[in-house]
Parts: sequence; C-alpha cells; structure tokens
Amino acid sequence: MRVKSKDAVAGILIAIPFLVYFAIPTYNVVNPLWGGVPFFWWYQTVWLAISAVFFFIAALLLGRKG
Amino acid sequence: MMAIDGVIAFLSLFVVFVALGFFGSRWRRGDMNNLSEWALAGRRMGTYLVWFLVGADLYTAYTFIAIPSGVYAKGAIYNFAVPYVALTFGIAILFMPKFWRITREKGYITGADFAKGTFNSTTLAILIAIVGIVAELPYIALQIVGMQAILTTMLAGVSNVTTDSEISLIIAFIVLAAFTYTSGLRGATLTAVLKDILIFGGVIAVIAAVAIGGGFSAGFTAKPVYSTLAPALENAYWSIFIVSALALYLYPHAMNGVLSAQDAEKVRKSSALLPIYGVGLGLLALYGVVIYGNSAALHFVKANGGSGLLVVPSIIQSVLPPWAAGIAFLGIFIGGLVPAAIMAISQANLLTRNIVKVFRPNLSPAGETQIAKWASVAFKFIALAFVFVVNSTYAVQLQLFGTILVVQTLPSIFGGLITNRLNKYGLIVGLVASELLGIYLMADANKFGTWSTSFFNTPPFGAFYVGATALALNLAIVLVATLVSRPKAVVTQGA
Repeated sequence: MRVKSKDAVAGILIAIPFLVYFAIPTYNVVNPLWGGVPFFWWYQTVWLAISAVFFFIAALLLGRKG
Repeated sequence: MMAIDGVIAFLSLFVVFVALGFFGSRWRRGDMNNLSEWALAGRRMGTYLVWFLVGADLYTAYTFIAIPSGVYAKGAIYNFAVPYVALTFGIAILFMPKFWRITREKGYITGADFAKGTFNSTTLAILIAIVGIVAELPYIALQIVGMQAILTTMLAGVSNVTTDSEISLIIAFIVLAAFTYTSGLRGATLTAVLKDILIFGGVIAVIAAVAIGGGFSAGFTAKPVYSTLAPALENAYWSIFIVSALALYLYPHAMNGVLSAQDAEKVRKSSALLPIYGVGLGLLALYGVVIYGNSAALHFVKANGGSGLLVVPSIIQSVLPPWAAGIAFLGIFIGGLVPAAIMAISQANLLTRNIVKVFRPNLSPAGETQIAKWASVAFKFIALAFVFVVNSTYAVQLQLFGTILVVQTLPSIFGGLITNRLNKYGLIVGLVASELLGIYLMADANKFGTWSTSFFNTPPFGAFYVGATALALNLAIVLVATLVSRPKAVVTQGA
C-alpha cells in the first residue's frame, strides 16, 4: 500500500509540468514582464528549474521501492 | 577576421581538447577492439558522468545555433524547445530505467536488439536499425552546420562571404571525421566535461553582458511581435514540443548515453536533473530576439549573407572581448563536434550488430569494431549531403526531420516496455507507413524544395507538426492490428 501511494505521488509530480506546458493560453501573454522579457518567455524557462525539482523528488520516490 | 587573441584562445584550447580526446581512449583502460568498450565505455559511468554525457547531447548546434536562428526568423514558435527539454526528461524517468534493466539482463546494446528480443522479429529489428541510422544523418548535418557557422564568423572578411563559408564547411567536416575515428565514447565523455565548462562559462558571460546592457528589453522593444505566440500556432506549438520530447530517447545516441550508466537508479536520478541544463537553452533562444536590439550584431549578420545561423556568434563577438569570444566559440564548436561523434558511433553500432551480423553471423569482435569505425566516417559523408537540403536559417529542420523519422519507433520501444503483446506485423506496417507519410508531408510542406518548415496544414488543427500526424497513423495501425489479431490482448501491463 505504501509503495502504491509513493507511485501515485511520483506520477502526479511528473504530470504537473506536462499540464503546465500544455495550458498554452495561460502563459501566452506579454505581462508581467521580467527585465523587459515577456511572460511567455521567462515563465517557460522558470518551469525548467521547477520541473527538475519535481522530477528529482519523483525519481527518489520511484527508486525507494526497491 | 577575428582579432588575433581570440584566434589564439580558440586554437590553444582546441589543442587541450584534442589531447583529452586521445587521453580518453586510455582512460579506465578496456579492450578497444571490443565494440561495447568502444561505444559504451564498458557501462561504468556514474550519475554525474551520465549527467554530463547526456547533457552534452543536449547542448549541441541545435541549442546554440539552430534554435536562436529559428527564433530570429519566426519568433516565439521556436521557443518550443523549452517545453520539449523539460518534458523529455519526465518521459525518460518513466521509461529509461526499465529499458536499462532489460538491456542489461538480456545483453542488448541497441533499441533494435530490444525490439528483436521483445517481439521476436528480425525484420522489425532491421527496420528499426535503418530508421535509427537514417534519422541521425540530418542531426549530424545540423552539427556540421553549427561548426561551420562558428568558423564563418571567425573568418569573416578574409575572402568573400561564399568562400569563407565553403572553407569553414570543409574544415568542420574534416575535424569531425578525424575525431570520431580516433576516440569513441570514452574520449567523448572526457571532452564533454571540458566542453560543458567552456559552454557554461560562455553562456553565463554572454547572458550577463547582454542583461547588463539592457539587451533583452531592447530586443523586444525593437521586435514586439515576437513577444508572444500567434494564437493560430498553438496547435503547432504543442504538437512539436510533445513529439520532440517523445523522440529524444528514441534517438540511438541518447540510448547509448543511458546504457553507459552504471545502474538503473543512476539513469533515473541523472535524467530527473537534466531539465536544469535547459535553462541555458531558454536563454540562448532569446538571442534570436536580442539581436534586433544590437545593431552591430545585426549588421554583421546582414553583411555576411544574412543567415540566422550567425545570430549567436555575432552577439558573442559584439559583447565579449576577443579572447573570451574565442573561448565561447570553441565551446560552441566542440558543442557540435562531440555530439556528432556520439551520434556517428551509435549509427555504427546499429549497422554492425543489427544489420551486418544478421547476414554475416561469424564476424569476429575485431572485425565488427573495424566495420563500425569505418562506417562512422562513411556516414558523415551522407550527412554532409543533408547540409545542402535545408535553407540555412532553418537548419533546425534537419533535427525536426530526424525526429519525424525516429519517433516512429515509439510503438516498438516504449510500447515494448509496456507490453510485449503488440502485433509485430502491425508494428512493421505502422513503422513503414508512418515513415512514408512523414517524408511525403515534409516534402509537401516545403513545396518539394529546400526545407524551411515541418508544419503541414492539417485540419482541424491548422499548422501541425508532421511528426505528430505520422505518429498518429502509426499508433492507429499498431492498435488496430493488435486488437484484430488477438481480441483478448487488450493493452495491459504485461511484461
């Protein structure tokens, strides 16, 4: 049972970046700007770092079940 | 021509790099006449080395030269590379550890080995090997184009524009062929570490210089239309980033990187961290916009033939002192060289193991390695031909065409990791039909001329990535064939 709930959490963590990037209209906007760079551009790049964190936690959860 | 201290920085570091490449073949000594030693470095790479190695695959001419060039010409659509890089590693941590375990247990070293073992079909294995070899060719061509762009920038003004660029192409090609033949994967790994140090130094220096000078806002002020994606291109955007993400680990060279890991856990952890590499990619994509705010760089590009491939080198040249630009240029130059070598090695693997050995089963390991080494040089000449198929500003189409081809092995590889009950004739027919459709649509999208797009107007989506359409056909054929031939074999988690 614990193994299954770990898998489920890992699955959700992996799925979130997919949902974020597929929701194109939510980030296809100019504002807010960051250092003159439109939201469309910096938001997707910031999500690279967040995706790495989510994936790494997911990798640890998937790895512990042995 | 570039100032002399820039040329000296470039050349002296290149000598260090070549020395490391040769040292690499003696590192953790193994029997270099054995193909899996030459190609997989004896499967002894730890988490960080795998991270560097696969990361090296990511920072190629695609990232440095081709994506910024596409952004320069077309704007936000080419930022698809950012979600592609993020999501491909989510896919990797789901599939690749299992792939590593199965290949280790059964002694496979290629995707074609895996398909042959899982679906018991030599025909399918040969087809997958051919697709892998062919798909790498335009990707290698892209690396040659990237190396050429660096040399062209350094040589600018020595002779006329055409001669400068032709000489650059010849030098790039010779360096690549010689490097691949002598080193193998161990050399490529050691040099990848040096390459990443140079590249990150270069990227950070240029980003800082551009940011301090207000270059990012100036670019968008000069080119406001590039601020967002045209709503009509949203389907094009998601279709191209998801298919690119699905395809990366189906490329034979990426599989090589995975298989060189020490264990499945290291594959999972290093893949999970790889999106961090993409942050630099996201910033480099912005250079395609930054250049509109940098009149010196923009003028340089226009004065030297106008190809978007010169966008990043010209910005580097305009914001950094010559010695620092020389170092950054070398980073980009070997950023094409090392991945191209790894790609060529993976092609050679496929040729010897999955094609030649089928017809000459008694080939000795030494004979096998000999064929592999020579084939890796021969394939580069075919790759060179692809350089002339594409409009240079849109060189990214070379990789996108490779992706259209290689993603069609998805049902056999990722499908085979989920279940071994897929119908093998369905897999074969699906593969062949989808390749033909993909090649046709790519040609049609470009009106049967030089390539500048891989979007085909596809109702009801509008502009839509050719690879997605072909993959949909492929999956439909595999599913129908599997359901019809075995009514009970609903796709479940079998193997």
